[in-house]
Amino acid sequence: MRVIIASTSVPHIDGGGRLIVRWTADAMRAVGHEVEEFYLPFPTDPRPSLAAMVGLRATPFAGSADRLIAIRWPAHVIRHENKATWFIHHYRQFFDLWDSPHRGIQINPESLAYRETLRRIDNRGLAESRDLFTNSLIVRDRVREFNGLDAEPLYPPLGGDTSRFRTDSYGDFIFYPSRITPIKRQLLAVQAMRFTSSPVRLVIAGKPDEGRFGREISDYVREHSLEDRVELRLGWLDEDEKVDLLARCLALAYLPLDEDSYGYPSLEASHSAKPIVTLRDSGGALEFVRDGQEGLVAEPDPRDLAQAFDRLYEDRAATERMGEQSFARRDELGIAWPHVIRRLLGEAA
Amino acid sequence: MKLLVANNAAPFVRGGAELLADRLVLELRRAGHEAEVMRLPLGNTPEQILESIVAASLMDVVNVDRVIGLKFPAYLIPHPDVVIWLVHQFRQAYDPPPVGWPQDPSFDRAASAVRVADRHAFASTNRLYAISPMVADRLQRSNGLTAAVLMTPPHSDQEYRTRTAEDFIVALGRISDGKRQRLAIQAMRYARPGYRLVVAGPPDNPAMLDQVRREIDESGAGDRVEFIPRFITEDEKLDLISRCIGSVYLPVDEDSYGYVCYEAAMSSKPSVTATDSGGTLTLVDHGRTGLVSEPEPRALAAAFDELSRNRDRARQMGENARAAALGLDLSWSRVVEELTR
Repeated sequence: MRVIIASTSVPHIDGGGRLIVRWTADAMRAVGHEVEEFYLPFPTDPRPSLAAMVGLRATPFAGSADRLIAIRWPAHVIRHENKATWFIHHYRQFFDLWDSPHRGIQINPESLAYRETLRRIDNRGLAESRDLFTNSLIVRDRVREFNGLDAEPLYPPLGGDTSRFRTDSYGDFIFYPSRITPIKRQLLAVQAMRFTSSPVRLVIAGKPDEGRFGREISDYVREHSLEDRVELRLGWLDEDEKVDLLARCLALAYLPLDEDSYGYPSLEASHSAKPIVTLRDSGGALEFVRDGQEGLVAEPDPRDLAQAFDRLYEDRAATERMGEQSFARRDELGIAWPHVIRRLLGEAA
Repeated sequence: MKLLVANNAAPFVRGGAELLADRLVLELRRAGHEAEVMRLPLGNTPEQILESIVAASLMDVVNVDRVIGLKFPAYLIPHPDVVIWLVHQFRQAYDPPPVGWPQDPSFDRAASAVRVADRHAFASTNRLYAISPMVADRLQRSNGLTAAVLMTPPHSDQEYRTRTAEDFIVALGRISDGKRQRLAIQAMRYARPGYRLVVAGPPDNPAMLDQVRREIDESGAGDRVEFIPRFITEDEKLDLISRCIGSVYLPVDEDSYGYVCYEAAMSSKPSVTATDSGGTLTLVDHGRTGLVSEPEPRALAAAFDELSRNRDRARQMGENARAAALGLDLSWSRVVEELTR
């Protein structure tokens, strides 16, 4: 089948937003489809003009492929006679963050009108899609709430050759690989290390978004003399090194605040058959991790998190069992390219 | 500098302009810039052409210092710093049929929109370059604008070589109607004895392959035409060129100087081209660097005969051709310097 994957992007920023597009395209090519990726420039900040949205909708894709798959807001406004939308999230400040401190928008008649216009544009683009998918249950629920439409959750798998992941041992350390940024709450993991009673260690790895938070973490480790038990690898983590740490760790920690999806680190842990520690308010990760099954779900509190770390260290049998369940969980949820591709192309599950 | 190389796109089709855009991005990066390609679909119908104008004109591009526009409608992107390196205009809106659209109200509306959009883009661009004298001439005729000529360097940097001419003339390139290899084969009917024609390159489609085979059979010169209907490696290609008497390249109204002519010239071989081949005349100067023939089998055969009969003269023309090719000063560093200054 000839497939166009249309996405939006900001030039020169190669973020995770492009990964899902590239991986999907590669996975489709691997099974013989002809795929072209289009990344159409679209600014998300400051708030986009409605004219830019009209421009996106005008883009003449009709008739040029058997299927068009729109990924990343607002690519779903693009017209095609056989369009599927894989909806990752709304323009968040105007919808799911509207009633939160992160709204950052003054409520006035103009912003209310803009919000209503966005909602109608979303409704149109989503409703005219032949198939509508989201990347999580959370976003599915939001689409129902804000747009009154039923979407099917379709969980994005990891791309590339996943056979590189392996399981060497269940070592003595919890591994938290992720961008170092306040919303991922690495500091909470470090704070928990003051309250553990077992010899469990913590390894945090990733590139700090801004110097301040990385420094805050380092300072905290030093001030509380946690150097022996907390290892910080602040900076770009080499892929081989990451795979190796995943293979040897006791469990993975993934502690974001209210994220839309389970996050790629969770999947990497699953591929390495490691349990995942997450938090009650982490969002999408809870769709993957059920407490005591694929890992542990703690309260967003250092003492409670410390208990979870200890439990993983002390009951290795349970840890290994949860690691196996973490591995199996992908199959249960259909997190696999054959399934994702079939659905995206409109075939039966 | 953060650059966006804006090209148009026909989904699932890749041709010379796509190669050019990819290479340009590579060269810009090598020179220390951040660069990426943005492809905007052009559409097929007149309605879609209108839509593509809307799409390009309303595009909101951020985090880019300069847009380098190659083709319609991508160079319509509104940005304070657009440099156009024109590969070619949207000729359906300018030329008479059959290249241009037929006279028809629906086409007329789209054609006039294209011209208005072009006029606006060309007027507001920071600088305007054309990839060949041919493209610059057309722009002068159709829009009354003067573009600086910035010719495209060849895609690959080759080790060209020259060997003593063996008894054949070579016809290289994609096998298609537009490149008229069949005309060269027809010429072999009238060619004097003493040399062969070697036709090498991938046919555009299976029908083309059949047509060329039939042409060879019908020419009655089957034993004098060698057909290699496949993609040949760079090395095979350079080897063939190095051993030929001369190269024949007969595109219809080509935009650029023609890589085939350039490669022959760099290998110190003369080229035979046609009076209506367009840009190839940049490198083929009749009697000095090669021969320019009427696009007609007998005239072509006469040109082949002349090269074959007078090898010393052919060799001299080959040497002149190499000097002419070097004189074009085709280098990516110069292109990058111009487009980013």
